[in-house]
Amino acid sequence: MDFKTDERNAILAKSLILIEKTTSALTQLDHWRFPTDSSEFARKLLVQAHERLRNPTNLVPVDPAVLYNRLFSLQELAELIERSSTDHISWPLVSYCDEIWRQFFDHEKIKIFYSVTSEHNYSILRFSKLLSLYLRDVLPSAEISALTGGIEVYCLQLASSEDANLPLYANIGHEFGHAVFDARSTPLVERLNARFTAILPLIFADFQQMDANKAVPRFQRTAHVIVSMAQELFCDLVGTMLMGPAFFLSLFEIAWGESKAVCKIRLAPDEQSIRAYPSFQFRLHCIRRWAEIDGFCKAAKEDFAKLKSSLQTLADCLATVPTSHSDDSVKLRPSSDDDADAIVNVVEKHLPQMKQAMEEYLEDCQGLMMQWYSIASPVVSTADVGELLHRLENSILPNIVPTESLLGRPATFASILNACALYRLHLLTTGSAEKAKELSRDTGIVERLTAKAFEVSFIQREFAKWQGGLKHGSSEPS
Amino acid sequence: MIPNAVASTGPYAGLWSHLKSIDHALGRALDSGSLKKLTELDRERIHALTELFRRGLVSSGLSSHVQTDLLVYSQGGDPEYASALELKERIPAVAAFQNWKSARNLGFEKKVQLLIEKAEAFLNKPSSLFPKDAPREEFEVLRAIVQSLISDAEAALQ
Repeated sequence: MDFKTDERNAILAKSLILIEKTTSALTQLDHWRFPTDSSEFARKLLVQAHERLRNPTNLVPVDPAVLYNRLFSLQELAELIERSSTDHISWPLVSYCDEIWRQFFDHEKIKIFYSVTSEHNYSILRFSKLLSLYLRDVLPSAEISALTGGIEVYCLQLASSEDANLPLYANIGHEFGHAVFDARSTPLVERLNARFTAILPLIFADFQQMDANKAVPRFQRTAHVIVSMAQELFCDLVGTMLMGPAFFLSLFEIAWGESKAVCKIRLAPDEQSIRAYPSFQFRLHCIRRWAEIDGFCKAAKEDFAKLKSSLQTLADCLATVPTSHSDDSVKLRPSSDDDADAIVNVVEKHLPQMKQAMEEYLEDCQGLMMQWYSIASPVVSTADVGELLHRLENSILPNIVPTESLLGRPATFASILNACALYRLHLLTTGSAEKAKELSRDTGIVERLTAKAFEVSFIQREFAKWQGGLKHGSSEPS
Repeated sequence: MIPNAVASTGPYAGLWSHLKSIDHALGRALDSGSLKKLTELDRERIHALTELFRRGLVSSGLSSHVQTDLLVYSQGGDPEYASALELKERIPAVAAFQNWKSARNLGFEKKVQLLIEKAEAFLNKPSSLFPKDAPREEFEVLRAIVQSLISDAEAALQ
């Protein structure tokens, strides 16, 4: 044995063992526990990727250390599939999510599967894109293209403590926005570019004045910051268009307890991993407009009139969310990055103009979204939300909106979500430390009623579709 | 915790693995004693290096076309490391680069362009599958630069 040459062989052996272990673990997963068929598709994709990696022909030009390193990143993808189980993910939620997804995408070409994250939040991940990225140092591009076959696969990660997270479901709309942005990036960035035509040369000139030698890389990184911020705002718009005021409340709840006046930038060694988030108060300011919060509050005053007096105040509460953003500042991580101070100074200097351009950009995006997709506007009616709140205050399942018929009509996903978000907010803001047990019981009831209402309303709608199909002579649901 | 580059994940691990795979491909191209042919992966990794350097020249402000068009910077593409690597500072510090063609008094940009051209000419040759045809001198300089960048990436991983 000679470790001048055997180190390489030993790492290759470790890599091959890891490939076998991962393939075996993925193959042994019970596909009956996958929430949808897309998890099975993702599993097959990952298993096939590992099979290609262990192919002796493909191994010849590979650096074993690189292979071993990439296998650790592939492990993260494998874990997503392992956590994609009906044990943790509710069927009605997945059904509604799939329904929304199909509004936007051809499900054969752009798929989504569902997994859970340990964080108390939601996130979407470009599974097939990451897979291709992790493979590019160890497989030739032709092999990678043949593997993915041009099909995009996304993974929506749901909060693992799901039952306690129902009112944050509205964030799923924001996460889907990222996939829409990816699919329509050219027209969306074209519009952004048009809105920033006057600002970009000013930013470049400032960097040149600071240090001409570093002006270009700093400008390039700042350009990614701008695109990333615009993408977040676009996703907020999509979340708002899909979920209405519930998304506004959801984002506000995420911001509870932290400074809402900070625009956050995270630099990375590769430009594509640079992330930037506008301040919460600017985001809430933008959403307030697109969710038509003021109109919602005005109409709610009338439609919530039959509720008990403490619930009637919900009509005004949305308008009290702070949305003034004139005191925004910029923070950047890691602060040790050589470009950190320069980028913060320039972004802070141009922030007012950038925010104005972003607001104009969102107007363009709203127009494009209405042109591309059929989205109901407004997504919820205050009358429906009022009826569901009336049921909630009496601990009755908020799944039916009364009509002239005895049966009523099934409530929509957005109506249930908005009513439950408002009702839960009412409980949280009126509860007291002396009544902690009652508060816990009442919020528990609301969460269970919400989950059940999603399930029942979905079945009712499927039943209505099936019944409609029968009337038109088909034995299968339409 | 003992830092372990090989088992790391995240953006810096992506950079490390990117550079290591390029270094490995250059090493295979320089292994003239080997009768093995270069593969498509080797060619793609060497091409990735020329792309990194080409973008590095733009990032260094030395190329004539600076894009102020956001379409160039949309997030969907493969990772680009040039703007963060500060190649204009890193490359001249590599001794092999300093010594290469030192008598001709060429500037940084010209020397990097020559390295890119040599590598691309090799990739474009029909016989580029054979290591014996690789431009040894230039590939050795390129390898020294890449290995220096790998050291930096390993430090960032800790």
